[in-house]
Order: sequence, then C-alpha cells, then structure tokens
Amino acid sequence: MKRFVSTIILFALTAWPCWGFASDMYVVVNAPVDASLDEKSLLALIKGQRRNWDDGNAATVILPSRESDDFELVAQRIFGVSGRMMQRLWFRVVFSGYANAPEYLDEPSGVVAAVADKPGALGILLSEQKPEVPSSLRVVALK
Amino acid sequence: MLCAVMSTAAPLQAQDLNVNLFTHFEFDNSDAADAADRTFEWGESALFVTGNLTGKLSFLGEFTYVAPKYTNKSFSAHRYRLRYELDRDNAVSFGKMHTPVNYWNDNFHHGRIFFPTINRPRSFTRFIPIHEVGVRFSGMSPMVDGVGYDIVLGTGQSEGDDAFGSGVQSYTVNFNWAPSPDSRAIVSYYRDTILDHVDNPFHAGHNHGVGDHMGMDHNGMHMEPSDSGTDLDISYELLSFSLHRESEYWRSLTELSANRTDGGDWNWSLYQYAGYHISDVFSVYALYDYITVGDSEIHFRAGSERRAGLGLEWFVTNTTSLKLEARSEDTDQGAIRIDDSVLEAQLSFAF
Repeated sequence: MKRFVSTIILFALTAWPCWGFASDMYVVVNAPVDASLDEKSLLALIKGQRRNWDDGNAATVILPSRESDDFELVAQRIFGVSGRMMQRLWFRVVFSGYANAPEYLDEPSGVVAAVADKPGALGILLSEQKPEVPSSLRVVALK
Repeated sequence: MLCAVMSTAAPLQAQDLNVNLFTHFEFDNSDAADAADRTFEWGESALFVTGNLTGKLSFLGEFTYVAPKYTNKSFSAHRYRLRYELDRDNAVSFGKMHTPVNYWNDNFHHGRIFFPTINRPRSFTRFIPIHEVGVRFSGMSPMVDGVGYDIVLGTGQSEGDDAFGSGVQSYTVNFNWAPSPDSRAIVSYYRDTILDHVDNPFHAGHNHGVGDHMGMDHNGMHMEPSDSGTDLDISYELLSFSLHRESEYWRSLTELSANRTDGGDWNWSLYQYAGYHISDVFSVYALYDYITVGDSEIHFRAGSERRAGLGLEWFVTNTTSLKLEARSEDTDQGAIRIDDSVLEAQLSFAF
C-alpha cells in the first residue's frame, strides 16, 4: 500500500508540468481597432521588443506576478526562461526607457478585468478553452 | 517587491507614473580608497521616474544624490527627457539622456542593482560620453525583426547641460540588433568637438588615476576650468561595439571601443564580463577591463589601465543584491603607477 501511494505521488509530481502545459495560451487585447493582432506582433509587445500599437499609442503589458500560479509557465512558454529571468529582462527594458513598466497581477482570474479597464492593454491567459471576454476585447490564441 | 512598486500605476493612462529608488553601500580595501577615507561608503542614490502624459507622449527622469562628504554637487539631474511616438516603430525624444553609444550606457541606469559588476567599465571615467542634451530619433525596422537605429543630435560634452549653447556639436549614430529579448548587439559612431580642449575639463582623463570604485564616476570628470590662454577646439571620435547575451545559465557582455582626438591615433578599451548563474539567486563571474592611450595622444593622459577579477553575486531578495569582487589593478601612466589587489563588496537596493 505504501509503495502504491508513493507511486501515485511520484506520478502526480512528474505529470504536473504536463498538466500545466496542456493549457492553451491566449492573449486578451484591448487594442485600437486597426491594430495588427498577429502572433508575431503580440509577442514582440509582450517581450518588450516593441512598445506601441500600429498608431503609435503605447501598449501596456499585463504579466503574472511572482505570486501568480502562471508566473513560471508564462516565463517558460513565452520567454523560454525562468520567472525571475523574465522579470529581470523586463526591468532592463523599463529602466533603459524602451518601454513603460508592465503591470503585474497576482490572480490569473483578474486578467480580463485588468485589460478591459485599460485602453491599449494586453494580458496573457492560460486556459483549456478560449476565454469569454466583453465585446470591447479580442482574444488571440498563441500557437 | 520591485514588481509591486512597479504595479502601482494608476488606471488612467495619462496619469501612469512609476517611481523607483535605488541606493547602495560599498566596502573597498584598495589603497586609493583608504587614502581617500572611502573604505566604507554610502554610494550614489538614484530616483527613477517614468510615466505617460498621453498615449504617445512619455517622460523619463533620473535624479541622483551623493553624500556631501564625497562630492561638491550632491544632487544631480542625469536624465530628463520627453519622448513622442511618431508611429509604431519610430519615436523622437528631447532632453538630457544617456547617449546610446554602447549597451551599458543605453541599458543601465544609475542604480547599481542591475550592473553586472560592481563598477562601470574604466572607459566610462574617461572616454564614454555618458549624458547628452539633445534630440534623439529612435526606431525599429518594420521589415527585419529586432533591427533598430538611434540618431542623436547633441549639445556636446563641452557645453554640458546648456542645451545647444554652441549649436549641434555632437552626432551619434547607432545600429542595433536584438534577435531575442536576451541578446543585443550594438555598433555606434559618436563625434563631438571638444571646445578649448586644453582648458575644458570634459572628457579630460588627465585628472584620473583611480577607478570609479572610489565614487569618482563621471561626476568626477568635471574639473574646474583653467585658463591656459589657448583656444583650440579639437574633434573627438568614438567607435563602439557591444554584445550582450543572457541565457538561463550564462550571461556575457563585451564592450569594445576605440577613440581618437584631432584625427590622431586610436586609443582602445575593452571590457569583458562573463557570468554563470549557479541558481536563480547566485552567480559567479569573471571580468577583464583594459584601456590604453597612445603616447601621441594630445588630450587624454597616455598609458594603460587594467583590471581583472572574479566576483560573486547574490540576489538576497528580488530587490537586494550583494556583490563581492577580488581584483588585481594595474595603472601605468608615466608618473602614475598603481599595482594593487582589491577586495570590494557592494550591497545594492531597489525600492
């Protein structure tokens, strides 16, 4: 019995990352009407490689905070690094003056509301199905 | 938590405001620090402010304080600039800014917490035009990912903060390529005119025989002007190449530059950092820093300076960093000869 329980625990621990990666990744966007919403453009904004929408207005990136359950997953899947590295990378972007500071959210459930509250914002959601959002927002699935 | 501070932006875009404070303390056992009574030192503190005025107009300010014991000018405004986005990829900035001549100067502010080593490269105390009052055009290629440019028309180092006091005196052209968020290469050319160069303290390295680990950063370059009776202006040119790369385990930064005055021989500088992330919070690194100025140089003091060392960086918390460095330092500038072994520690904070 003890061995069976150990096997179950070991399976759960090793399978956990797979469960996390099983979620699809979506970008929730509160962008100007004519903004390019292709994956390449959105990733450039999320990674701090661009700072503006097509019309020149500033984009505000909403990222998971260290307290968020999505912190490490978003860092790994979008930036290919740890959460701490993702944060340091963004600090450098901000302090060099390339882009404005992102906003950090503790709760993934707050992403849609935060994006809706801020014109020009975009945030990342991990979900097994496409999230429902207010009509003023758009959702783009990342491959 | 810095992220918590940074997430305090108000919901209205036109009122977004981010304020951060950085400071550090140092211990330095070098002979030079001992002679200057700076073995233990409270270093430069920096207030960093950014925000949006409108969707396309943003501002950036950086102001520092150094204890009066160490400087004649405790408060300094290092950066204050407005930036207007022309479209998605191009922007124009006006004000006092860091010149985009290399990776270090374009990416690091005055707070020490993000410096890869305790001190700036030695070239910063002598050759690098750190600040410039002027107009900057910045942009990214819409065709090639990660390729960008900067063009700065500046007041020049000789006029200081007196915006275009003698018209446009300096020109900076920079091409950069960032194939990923963690990698960036920069090539730049900078040209300035050093007005009345014999008496002008700007750029003049002849007042420097020690490193900025003593706190003699670029503030210390500004000697009181003398009057030799000459009035000779000379050109100053700087060519720079930077390469920064960071991965989950490794980080490296190369700063290579060559400069010359009045069309003479080139002087060289090389700074190399290579770090290995043992874990999320511990890194070990090696540094090598070398500059050489030829005997025919008419503005900078001839000779060479070399620093080499090993260091350890510990992120005690997300906003507190402790660096320890052991270095050997050699200076050979004619009458000035220094051969020292230095142990230096720096505790830096972000709020």
